[in-house]
Amino acid sequence: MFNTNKRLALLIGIDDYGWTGGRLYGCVNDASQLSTMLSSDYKDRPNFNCKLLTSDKQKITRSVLRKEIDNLFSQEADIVLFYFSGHGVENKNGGMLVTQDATKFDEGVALNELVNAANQASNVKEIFIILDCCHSGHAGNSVVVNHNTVLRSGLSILTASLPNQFSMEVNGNGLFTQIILDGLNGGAADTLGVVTAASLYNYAEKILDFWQQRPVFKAHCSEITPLRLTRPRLTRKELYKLIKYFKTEDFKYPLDKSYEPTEEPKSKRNEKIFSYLQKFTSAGLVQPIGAKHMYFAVMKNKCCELTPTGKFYWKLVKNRKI
Amino acid sequence: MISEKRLALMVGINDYNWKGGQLYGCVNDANGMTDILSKNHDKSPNFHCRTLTSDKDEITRRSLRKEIVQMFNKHADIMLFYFSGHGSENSIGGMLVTQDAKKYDEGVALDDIIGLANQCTTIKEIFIILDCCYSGHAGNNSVVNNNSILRKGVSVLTASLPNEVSMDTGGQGLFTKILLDGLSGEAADTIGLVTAASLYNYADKILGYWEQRPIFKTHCTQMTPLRHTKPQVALSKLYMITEYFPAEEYHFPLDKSYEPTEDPRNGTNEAIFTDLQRFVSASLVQPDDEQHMYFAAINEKSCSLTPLGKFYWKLVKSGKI
Repeated sequence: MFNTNKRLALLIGIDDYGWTGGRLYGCVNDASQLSTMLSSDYKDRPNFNCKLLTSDKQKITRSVLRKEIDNLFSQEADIVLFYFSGHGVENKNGGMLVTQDATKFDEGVALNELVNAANQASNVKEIFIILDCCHSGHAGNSVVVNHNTVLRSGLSILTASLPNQFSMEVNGNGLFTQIILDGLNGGAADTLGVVTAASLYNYAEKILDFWQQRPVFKAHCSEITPLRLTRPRLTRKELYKLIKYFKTEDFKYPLDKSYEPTEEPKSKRNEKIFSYLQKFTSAGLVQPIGAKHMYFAVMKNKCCELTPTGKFYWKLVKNRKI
Repeated sequence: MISEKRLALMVGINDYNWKGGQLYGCVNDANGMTDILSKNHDKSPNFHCRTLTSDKDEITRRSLRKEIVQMFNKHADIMLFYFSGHGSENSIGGMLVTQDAKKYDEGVALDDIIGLANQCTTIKEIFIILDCCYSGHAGNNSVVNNNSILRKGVSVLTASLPNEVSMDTGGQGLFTKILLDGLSGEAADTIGLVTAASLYNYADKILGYWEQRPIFKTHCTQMTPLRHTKPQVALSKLYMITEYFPAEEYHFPLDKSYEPTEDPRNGTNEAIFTDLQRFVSASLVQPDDEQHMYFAAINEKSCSLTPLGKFYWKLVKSGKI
């Protein structure tokens, strides 16, 4: 579906720390599972070309992480995604991604450095930064402008928690990453199965409790880019029938018994149309008028019409936007 | 429904002597946005709107600045600022053009508005929606290489890229027409909520790449509803989802007693089936191994939660909605 040479993802997971913060248990899992999820779409077609670095396979030091970040943002690509799961710390200048060789006052790579590299990556159209670590909400904020966020066009940041908050681990996964995985698996998808950064944030924000950590979303975008395709509720081919049956947005499609296969008179043509109308109904695009179900609408010679969401997709099909 | 303080300042200017000429849709735009944002679908109050339009008010550089300064001095949970009129740009950034515009003195700088928004400490969340030319400048700052600077809680939704002209079609700005459709329900989720992000997603899809390109900038810690529209499933019905599905992965077994046209008849099961069908039409539930719920009942199959259904199941289960 996508040209994976143009969609690159770097995923980092660190469990093994000698540092005061102590060992973690879910980060290698997090990065590995997210890598698998992002690599392909629901039909196993390639999605992101993923590079996975985890502390069980290699030592992730400050210099390794820096090199990888520098390398990532030097690429020529449509989309670059950076993911980190591990320890995070904060100091007066902002937050830091903690590396395995962390020492006091030299914990790892500053979020400022990461976001600056992203802001300056001129060969990459869109960048997504996803961080599941404590204090990750600092990402993008700058002391120079009073801790407000500085973002270039095309950059979106999703973080597990507020600048001053900790991020939790549960059952061998980061809580935030677990939610992101569910969202990417279809929970955050629209009718066509598309998951975007905004839909993913909306999903995570709703699932997370206000008493737990609060995720942060920062974005500056001129389009909404799919992060992953999941199983659509309707195929495009099915969706294109919308404008065939509904000549206008407000058209009321009249039904009668010939549409229902179990009733007389029989009409093969109408039964086929009805099977599409039923699919539209199940996807929330069409609703019967004056009857609870399409079945009753047919039996009582009522009509069906487009729902508000149905009108949205009708316009997209009509104007050839999908 | 809304106990928080939600305020909106809506501005629409048609009447210009400025070289950009008279506009025709902007007063309509501001009034249309006022109408839709004032009330939710159930007529409950939503935003408390103050609306300034050039057919009734003289909107000068001075008066607009005054309104904006006063707006950001308010104490509120949410403030929404909407402007429809001319926009202009210079090498420093974009401007909202006022009725007394002169060359080199066109109106209020977007930098000023964003600066005030970023410094405002009395309002939790601020939404700035601009339907005018060159509106994409809003939030960008020449000091930081034209990247955008936003404080937590500020979101900006604009009609066009920094260097683009917005279109005014048939007595309404194209962008505002789309926002109105989105806010009336086309950009809503299952429970009828429209947010700034869902509205942007909607406008992004409706507008092609050959037309103007809308921009979204945000720095948020929650997705705040801009308007409640008619839900696909009423909340009272949605709460039943955890009754019918004790676990996320539960398969609800069906048989003929659920289908009203079949024997044996069972009133309780038929009522449950009506709810389940409602969930199906909101894409929350799907029949297992059958195309329709009818056949799932007749053939004694089951039904289960879709990924979206699991999402709402979790929200109901944990008492989030």
